[in-house]
Amino acid sequence: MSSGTELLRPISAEVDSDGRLVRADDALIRLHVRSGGIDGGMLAIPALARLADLSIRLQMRLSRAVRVSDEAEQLELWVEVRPEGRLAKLNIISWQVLASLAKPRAVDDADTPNIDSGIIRLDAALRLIHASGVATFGLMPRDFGRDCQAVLNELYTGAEYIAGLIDLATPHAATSGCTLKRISDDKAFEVTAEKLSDNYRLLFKIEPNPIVGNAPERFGDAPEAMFGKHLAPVLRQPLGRIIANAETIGSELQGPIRENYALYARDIANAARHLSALVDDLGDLEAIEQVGFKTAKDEIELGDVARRVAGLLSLKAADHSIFIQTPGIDIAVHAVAEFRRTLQILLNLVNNAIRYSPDGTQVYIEIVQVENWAQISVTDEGKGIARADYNKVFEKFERLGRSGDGGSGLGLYISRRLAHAMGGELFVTDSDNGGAKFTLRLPIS
Amino acid sequence: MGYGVDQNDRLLQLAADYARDIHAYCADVGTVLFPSAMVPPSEAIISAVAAKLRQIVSDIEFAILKDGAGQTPTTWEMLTRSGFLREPDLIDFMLSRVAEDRLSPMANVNPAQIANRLLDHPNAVIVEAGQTLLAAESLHHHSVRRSFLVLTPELLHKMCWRIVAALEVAQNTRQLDVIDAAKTIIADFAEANRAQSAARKIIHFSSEIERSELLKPELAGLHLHVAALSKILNLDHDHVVRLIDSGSSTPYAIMLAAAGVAKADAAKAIYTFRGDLITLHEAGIFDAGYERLQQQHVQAEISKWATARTNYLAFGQL
Repeated sequence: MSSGTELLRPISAEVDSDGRLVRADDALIRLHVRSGGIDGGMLAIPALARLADLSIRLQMRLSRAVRVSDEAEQLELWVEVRPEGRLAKLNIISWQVLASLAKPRAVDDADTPNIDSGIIRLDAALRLIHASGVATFGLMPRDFGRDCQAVLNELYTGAEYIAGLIDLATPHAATSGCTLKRISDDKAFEVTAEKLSDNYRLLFKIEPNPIVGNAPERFGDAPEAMFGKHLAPVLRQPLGRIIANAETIGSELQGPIRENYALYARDIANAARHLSALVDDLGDLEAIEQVGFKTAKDEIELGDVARRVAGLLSLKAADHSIFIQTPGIDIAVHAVAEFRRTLQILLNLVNNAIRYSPDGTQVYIEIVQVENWAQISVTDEGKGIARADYNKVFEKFERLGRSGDGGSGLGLYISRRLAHAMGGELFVTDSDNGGAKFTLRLPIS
Repeated sequence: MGYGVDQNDRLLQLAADYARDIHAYCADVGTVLFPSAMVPPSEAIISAVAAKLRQIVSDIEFAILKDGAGQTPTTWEMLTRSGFLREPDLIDFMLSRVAEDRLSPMANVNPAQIANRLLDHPNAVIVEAGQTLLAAESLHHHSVRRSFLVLTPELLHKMCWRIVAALEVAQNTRQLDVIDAAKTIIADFAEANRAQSAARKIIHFSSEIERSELLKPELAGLHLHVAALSKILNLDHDHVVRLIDSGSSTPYAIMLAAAGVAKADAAKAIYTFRGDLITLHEAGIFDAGYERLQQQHVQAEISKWATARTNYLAFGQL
C-alpha cells in the first residue's frame, strides 16, 4: 500500500443537488466515464456522489478519504468538499492507487463478460451506472442514471423480481437468481445479483433452455406464494423508510422547511402508507386465493376481539372525534374461528366505519348468539350503502366510486373470503340510524 | 470408589478451571462471531455516556441561546423522552468517545515526541494535519462549552436541529435567531478539524515505513494508531476503537494480525491498551494462536465485521 501523494494541483469538480456532475477536471471526468458516467450526467462514482450529496444536505465542509474502484484499479482519494448553495465543490488533494489491496474476485473475473453474458452495475440508489456484454442490448445513453428497475421493466418481462433479487444480494456471491425475458426477441437470461462495497451488480447469462415463466420458482416456492412471501417483505421495508423519512421531514424534526414542502412530505407519507396497506392486502389476497387455504380453529370470544379492535383504533377514531362503543364485559359470545383472521376482519370493518362516518359520530360493535351462529356487527352513522350495492361492495377492487381515501378496494373482498374460509359469512344491511351495518357470522362449534 | 477430601478439592478445582475456560472461550467466540452484538455496558460506562451526551446538549444549547441558556439544558428531558438520545449511531459514537477516554492515557505517549515527529515532517500536508490533531486533542480535553466539536458532521447536524425543534416545542414559538444560531454552528463546523479526521489524513499521506511506526501506540498515541488500523483494514475509525475496547482481546489481536503486525509488537500493543483486562486464558490463546493467523484469512473475516456494523447502525436510522 503506497502513501497518498499530495497532488501539485488539486483535482476539482462541482456536483449539483441532483447528483449531476456539472464541471470537473480531466482526471475526474476520465474516472467518471470509466465508471459508466456520461458527459453532464449523474456522477457515476457512488462514494463521491454520496459525499457531495451529504455536504449539500448538511451544508457542512467535509474532509474524508474515500475508496473508489473502476474497471482497472482501486483508489483511495482524499477529498475536501465545500457546499455552495445547491452545489458541492469537490477538491481531491490526493489520488492514491491501492496496489496491494486485491480487488474482490468477482469484479476481476466477471467484469469482462464473454459472448453469452453481460453485467449491469447499479449505484447504492439502484440507478443504472454501467452495462457491458449482452446486457447493453436495447439500452440508450439516456438510460444511465435512471432507476434500473424502470429501465429493465421497459426491456424485459419478469423485471419486477429484480428489486427482490437485489434485496437478497450478498457481498461478492450470487445466491439467488431470476429469469428475465427480453421483450424484443424473447431471449431468456438468468440474472443473479451481487452486492459490491457500495453498489450492486447484476450478472446476465443467456439461458440455453429457458423455462417459460420460471422467475418466481427460482426463489424456491410455488409461484402463487411469490408476492406474500418474498416481495411483500421486500416492499414493506423501503415503504417503511419512506414513511419514516417523510414524517421526519413533515414534522420538521431536522430543521425548518417551507410550509408547502412540509405539506408535500405529509402527502408522501400518506401515499406511502396507502401503498403499504395495498402491499399487505395483496399479500393477503394471494394467500386466500391459493388452493387449500385454511384457517386455524381457535376458541375465541367475540367481546374480547371487539375490545381489542376498539383499543387498536381508538387514536384514529379520536382524531375524528368518533367514539367506538364496545360490548360490556358481562356479555360473552364464543365462536370457533382463527383469532388473528377474525381480528383482521374486525379491524377492516371498524377502520372503514371510521373512514366513512362523519366526525363526531359513534361506531357500535355488538355481539350476539343466534342459534348456532356467533355474530359480531359493526354499525356506523354514515351515509349507508344502497341495497343494490350490498354484494358489489364485496367485489375485488370495488370502491363504489370513491377515491383518494387510502382504501385499496380489497379489504372487504378479503374479509368475506376469510369469513368463508372460517365457515362463516360476512354481509351488510342497513342500520336503524341510516348507516351501514356489517355483520360477521361465525360457527360456535 | 471413594475420594478423600484432597481429591474432592482437586476435582472442584478442575471443574472451576474448566468453567472459567469455557466462559472465556465463549466470550472469545461470541466476540469474533458477533462483533456487533450488544454487550450490556457497565453502570460506569452508562454514566459516562450520559454525562458526555448531557454536556454536548448543554453546549449546543448554550451556543444557540447564548445568554438565555441556563445551567441545565432545557431540552434534555424532551430529547430523552423522545428516544432521540438512544439512537444507535449516537450511542455508538458516545461509547467510542468513552472508550477513547479510557484508552488514550494508556498509550502513555510523550506529547513532545509526537509533536516533533509531526511538525518537523517534510510533507506540508502532514505538518498542517499534525497541528490540527494536536489542537483538536487539546481542545478535546480543555475546551469549555465547545464539546460538540467532537461530533461527526452528520451527528452535529442532527443534534442541532433536534435541539432547535425541542426549543421550539418548549417555548411554543419559532425564533428566527435560534434558527440562525444553529445555522451558524453548522456553517462554522469543518470536519477536517476533528482529531479523528486529522489522524486519518496524516496516515493517508504517510509512507509505508512511517505507517508501520504509527501502528505502535507507544510512539503514535491512540488516534494515529487507530487511524492506521482503520486505513489498513478499511474499517470505520470508531469501529476500531470499539473493537480495541471490547470485552475480549481477541478482536484486537485479529486486527493486528490482519495489519501484519509482528507478534512481539502485537503483544506490546495489547498490553498497552488491555494490560489491566487481559486474562490468563486470553494470554494463552494469543501466545499459541497469533502466529497461526493467516493475514488473508483474517482480512476476509474483518470485512464481514464491517458489513455487520453497517447493517447494525443502519437499522433504526431514518
